[in-house]
Amino acid sequence: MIIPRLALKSLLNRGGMVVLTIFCIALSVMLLIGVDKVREGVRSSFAGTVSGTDLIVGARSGSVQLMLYSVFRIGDAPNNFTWATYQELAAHPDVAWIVPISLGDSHRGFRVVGTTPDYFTQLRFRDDNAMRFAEGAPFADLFDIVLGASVAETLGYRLGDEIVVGHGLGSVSLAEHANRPFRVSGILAPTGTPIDKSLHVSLAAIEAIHVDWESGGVPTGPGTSVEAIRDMALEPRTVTAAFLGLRSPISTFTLQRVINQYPDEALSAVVPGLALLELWSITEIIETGLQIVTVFVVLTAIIGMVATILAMLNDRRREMAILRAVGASPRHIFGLLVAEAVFMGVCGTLLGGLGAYAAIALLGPAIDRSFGIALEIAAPGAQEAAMMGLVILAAALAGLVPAFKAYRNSLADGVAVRN
Amino acid sequence: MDLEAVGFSWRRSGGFSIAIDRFAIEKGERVLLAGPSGSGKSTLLSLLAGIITPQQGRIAIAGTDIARLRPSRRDRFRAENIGLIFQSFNLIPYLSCLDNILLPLHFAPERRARAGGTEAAAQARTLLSRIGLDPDLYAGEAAGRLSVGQQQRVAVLRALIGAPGLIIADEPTSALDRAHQDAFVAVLSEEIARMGGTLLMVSHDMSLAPLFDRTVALESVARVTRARGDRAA
Repeated sequence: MIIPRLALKSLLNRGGMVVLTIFCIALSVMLLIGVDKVREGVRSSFAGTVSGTDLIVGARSGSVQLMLYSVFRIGDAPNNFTWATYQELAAHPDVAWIVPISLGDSHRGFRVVGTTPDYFTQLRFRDDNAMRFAEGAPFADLFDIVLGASVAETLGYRLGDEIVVGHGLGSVSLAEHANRPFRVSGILAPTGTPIDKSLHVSLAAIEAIHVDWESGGVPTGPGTSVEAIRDMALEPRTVTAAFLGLRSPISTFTLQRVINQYPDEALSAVVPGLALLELWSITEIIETGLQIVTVFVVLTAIIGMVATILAMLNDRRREMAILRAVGASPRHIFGLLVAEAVFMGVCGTLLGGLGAYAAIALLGPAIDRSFGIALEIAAPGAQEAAMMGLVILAAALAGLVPAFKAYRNSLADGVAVRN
Repeated sequence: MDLEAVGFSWRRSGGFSIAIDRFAIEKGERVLLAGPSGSGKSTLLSLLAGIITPQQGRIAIAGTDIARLRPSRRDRFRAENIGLIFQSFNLIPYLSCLDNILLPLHFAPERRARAGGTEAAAQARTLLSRIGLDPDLYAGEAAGRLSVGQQQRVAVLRALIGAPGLIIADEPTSALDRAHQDAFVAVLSEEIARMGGTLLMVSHDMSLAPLFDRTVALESVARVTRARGDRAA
């Protein structure tokens, strides 16, 4: 067929304008695919943060809130629950393992987590990966502290450094527990989860930090000495949340009901997967908003393409007249213009698709390190194919506008165009 | 070619209209149609080429009344039977010389067959060498890079390829200097004679008259009226 060949040659001849137009479409398609990939990446990264945990228990609250503060360290717990309750949960026959966390303190903007050494062995992230120590070992001494990878990197801490833990949260802690410094005993390898941004101490250490703070106010006078604290029985009184692994997943919902109806204390137990679904239903609004924006960016690029074709149309009246003279019908002229739009649409879309994957390949590792979002480089799935197909279809439909104009011009001009 | 009682008026061009009682050219005849600019030459040529259709009358080309054809049939008829040459800008600049010459054949299967079907490209190359353009140098060259004289000669080949019965040329020499004009008309006459076609050429240059069988003054066949303004069609 001559028309597609003519379209291709005409585009090649127009160089710069066409390249820019294709580039615009490519960028917009890149954005479209990129946003989708980031959305998927965020979801799978969130889901990967709580791999292998069957139930999360905390003081009564909404399941999303419990997930957010316990797993993602976003927001605060409404309340703690007692150590006695924790021990009862730990002793439950269905429970294979339990890891407590005690939140509420910070170090230079990073959260301090009180926990047990099981934290480092039982918790899993991203497809059942276990935590790994880049250096050192779990805390053994009361004043040992284990740093997440980002904490060590950002603050420049090394094994054996002494650091001071602040009471309360916030990057500038007014009341630092300055008389009881901790020693870095271990640094974790990066996980791409909030663990990287946490400092970990034993539950007893959390109690030790708070000796003299029982009244709630800033302690006055010389505090209890480190030696005296070491001699104390530092049994934790409360924990913020607990991660549970069950002997059999079948008992998940039974145990969840038991915990939710716990008689002595108001508790909530959530199944991480289900809580995430609830979270997605909230974030979907934002995702949809973002997608609408990207769709409009694509539309803008396509409108730009139409404007380019229309702008060139006037210069091409002579060309159309020649085609009419050699026997092309106005329908051929129409087809030529549509073919040009389709060519630009296809080139832009393919280039944008390639660009998106190239960007993911290039920037993916850095994004994973900085934000903990792993972007997957899978072959384009049905969804990407459908999105790209729709962009090409939109380009073709948009091409009808200049095509119709050229059609009408060629009817009116005939071969009598003067240049 | 035979026009009878043809009436046409442009809807938008200041009420310009043209009326032709009778104008006929015999097959194989070479006719020079002379007339000053604005005398309705281009309108007449558009009517003959079937680009525009008359409100009344009959335009018979090789026995077919093209005024009665549906628009798509008329486009096809033009592709098969008429070769058009303009004053200038005859070629699509981004296509090679060869592609420009072969262009009408894509819209006219019968003409393609007459041009040798798959051998059409070889035939076009032969034609190129005959008009003094080395096919090895010029066949693949983008038409936009040729000189105006060369372009006009290539346009002749495009009009002639596949031997359409009627060649219509609209002041094809006006963009050329004297020496090139003569060379152009020589090429045109020679090639048309070779294929036995009919030629209608419009020009205001009467010095070309000896090269034609007959010279017709436009005023003698067509009456042009204008309601207002002086825009030529």
